[in-house]
Amino acid sequence: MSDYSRSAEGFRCDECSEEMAMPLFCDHCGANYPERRAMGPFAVLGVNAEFGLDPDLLERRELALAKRLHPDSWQSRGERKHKQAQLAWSAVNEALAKTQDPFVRAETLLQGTDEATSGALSDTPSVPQTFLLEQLELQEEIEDGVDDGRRKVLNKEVRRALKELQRQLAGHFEIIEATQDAGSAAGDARIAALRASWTVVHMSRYWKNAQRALRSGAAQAR
Amino acid sequence: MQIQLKVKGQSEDVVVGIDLGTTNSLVARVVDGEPKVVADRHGRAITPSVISIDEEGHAVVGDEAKTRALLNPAGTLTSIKRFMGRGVDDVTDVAHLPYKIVRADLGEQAAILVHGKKYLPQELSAMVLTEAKKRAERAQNLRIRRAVITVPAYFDDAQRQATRDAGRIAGIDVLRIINEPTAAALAYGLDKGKRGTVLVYDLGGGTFDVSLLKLTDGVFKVIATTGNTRLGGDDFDNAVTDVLVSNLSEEQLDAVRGNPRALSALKTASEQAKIALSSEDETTVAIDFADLGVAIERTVTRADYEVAIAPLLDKTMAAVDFVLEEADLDPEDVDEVVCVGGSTRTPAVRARLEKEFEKPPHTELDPDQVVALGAALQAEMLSGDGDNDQVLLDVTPLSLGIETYGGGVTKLIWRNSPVPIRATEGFTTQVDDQTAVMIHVLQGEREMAKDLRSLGRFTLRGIPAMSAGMPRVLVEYFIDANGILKVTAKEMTSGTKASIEVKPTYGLTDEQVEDMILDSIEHAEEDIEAHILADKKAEAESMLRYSRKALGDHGELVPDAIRTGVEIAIAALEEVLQGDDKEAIEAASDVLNENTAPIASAMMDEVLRVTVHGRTIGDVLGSQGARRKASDIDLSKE
Repeated sequence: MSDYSRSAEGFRCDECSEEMAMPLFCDHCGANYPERRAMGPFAVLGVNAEFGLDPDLLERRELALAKRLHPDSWQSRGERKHKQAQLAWSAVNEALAKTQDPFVRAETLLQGTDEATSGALSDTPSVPQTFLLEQLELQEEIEDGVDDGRRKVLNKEVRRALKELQRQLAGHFEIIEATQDAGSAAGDARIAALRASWTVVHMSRYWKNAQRALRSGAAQAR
Repeated sequence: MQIQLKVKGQSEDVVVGIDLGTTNSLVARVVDGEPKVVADRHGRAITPSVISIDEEGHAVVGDEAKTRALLNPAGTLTSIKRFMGRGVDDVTDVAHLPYKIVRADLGEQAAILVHGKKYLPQELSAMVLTEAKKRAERAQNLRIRRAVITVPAYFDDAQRQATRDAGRIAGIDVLRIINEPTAAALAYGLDKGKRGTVLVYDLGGGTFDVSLLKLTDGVFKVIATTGNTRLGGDDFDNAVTDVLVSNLSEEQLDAVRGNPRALSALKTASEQAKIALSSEDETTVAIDFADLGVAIERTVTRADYEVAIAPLLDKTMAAVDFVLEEADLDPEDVDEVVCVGGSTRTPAVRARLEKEFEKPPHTELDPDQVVALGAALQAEMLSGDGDNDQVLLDVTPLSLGIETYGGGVTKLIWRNSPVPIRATEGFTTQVDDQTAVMIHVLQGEREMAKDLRSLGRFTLRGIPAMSAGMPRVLVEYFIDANGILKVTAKEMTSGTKASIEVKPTYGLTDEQVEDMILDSIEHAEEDIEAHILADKKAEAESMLRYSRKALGDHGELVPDAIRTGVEIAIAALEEVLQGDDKEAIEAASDVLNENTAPIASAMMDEVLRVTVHGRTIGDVLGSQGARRKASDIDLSKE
């Protein structure tokens, strides 16, 4: 990682010494620090890396950043700076995409754990056989086409299932976050919570696919 | 190329917003912090998006083109926007159009055949843009170099690129391609200082969009958008047409379909009936195509009309449901509903929205102007002239993917992702010493490549010769704030920058656009006095030909006094054309145009009468004649 000076409030620009709205791009002089993408999405947005992140806080961050460094305000200030501002803002958008949705956020957090880095979480999560069969049936039903009424029922079902999975994740992450610095002392409980989270994230993908298929089906029906 | 430019003395350099609509186009600019549409020296704010090309290949654009529709039906082009960025096979609704669609010489895209010559939709849209721009420039002694141009939110990459290219061909530095509903929200938001969730329902002349936005302290954030680029006021007209012709026999229908002039009159009648039904309970249409042996006399009630458009309204409401679902919101979560586009003047549209959201939609701003007004605000923001307390955060309407082995697709960017956004994907080689890789970029929501919109094929060259699977080519896809894709690539193991050759499926390459810009004399030389003179003269010659033809073929339709008036005006214009006085030619052309207008109205009246309570539409709307007034309140405006 490159050198940077982090003040109590945030980052200071190496070039103009002003305080920056975010680490990748100086909203005062337009200096560019693309290598800091490696710090990860939470740092790019300047929020805590935790599962229970308040969605309103994330949105307030997004709006505050938009006001300070949105590339539109750089359009009349030279092509190079404008391009860099666009890339910086694109990094904000990518970071939001990795943190806004609770399941994607869980995945981002899991990938950042020591266990993921060391390969302890690399096996494919074991999803219950009955769940897979249910999903297969749902998928077939949607592919064959569903009417408006049925679509509404299925949509509700998907939403309810996702809510339940999110509740489970919150429980697992309580353990994961409490044992963050405990290292190997945390032992089996932590590993179990990590594995369970990983399974939940995997299951959520099936539901999300079903949700997408339902919406695309509706779009095509028009 | 060096071009000598003579810049006019005091003309003021301004940035503007341009609404390039299916039916009409508008220019707006910000004056003293307020967005205003720019009217031309006749007080007309709207430029009809109509082009009339005569046998000699001379084109007139706007109101003049519209009045020629009956005399030159095969050369009068409307709804050009429907062909932007499309292929010939996409255009299935040609039955309603009096002109021919053919394959362009460049690529797969559609071109329009007029008097034996092919025109690309980009070139034709550039003509409309040039006309709208010129009108605004001349009326207020402005110089317009930079503009924001609007597009339907649901336009795909090819359609956006075509619009941007049209702007470039018209000599405009396109600051931004902005989504129409987003522009409308900007115009409304500034006016009201609103906060909360806003749904914009934008039903234009040929396209429909619905966008959900969240407004917070000057940040306009689009949450979700969807739409239909083939649904608009045109379809409402067609629904009325279907009612009008419902009693005709198959033979009569065929006779009408095969006759451009009859189609044109029928379209006008349908449009006028639709407009009348926004304020009246019923209207009577009488059309007599004596030469075809077809006469239509039919009273259309508002109830008839509402039954005819009900399937169209259902489609738009399904889209409303879809954006709400996409944003995970219910109708009661929406704080404000905004109506945009002339078609939202139809009471049934407003009633459906009021029923769904249990509150009346906003209609305070002119639904025809609101998009241009918002574009003007965005232009001001981007030019750095205004104070930037507003920020627009928009999304890409369609998912972006690449074709995978076996005709599948991998999605790289999902629909409704905020832009600008970047995605990267790694590629490698299949065989030893392979130095090139082909990438097929696709847009849309389906799962198989064949069902998706092909944006283009990118060939990566210059990959160093290595064993199969060794090179790591990183391709970066970047959707910019215009919603337009750029692709770059790098070979990671050797650091070689692979070169990319782009073949747009339905568009022009940068080189082709450059060539067209150079070809277009309009562009660089428009300020050269000699060119303006030549341009004026050619326009006047064309008008003379048209007026002589109108007088010869249809002069008997008007009283002697009007005929004499036209003859005098023709003689006067011929006289000044001998000289080089630009102002005199312009003035004489205007006089001739005014004098010829009654013949055009009479030609229309001869075949067609639309009445409300026994009075003609012309009487109802004012004494200037139905055509002129109807165009002022044209419902099918984007």
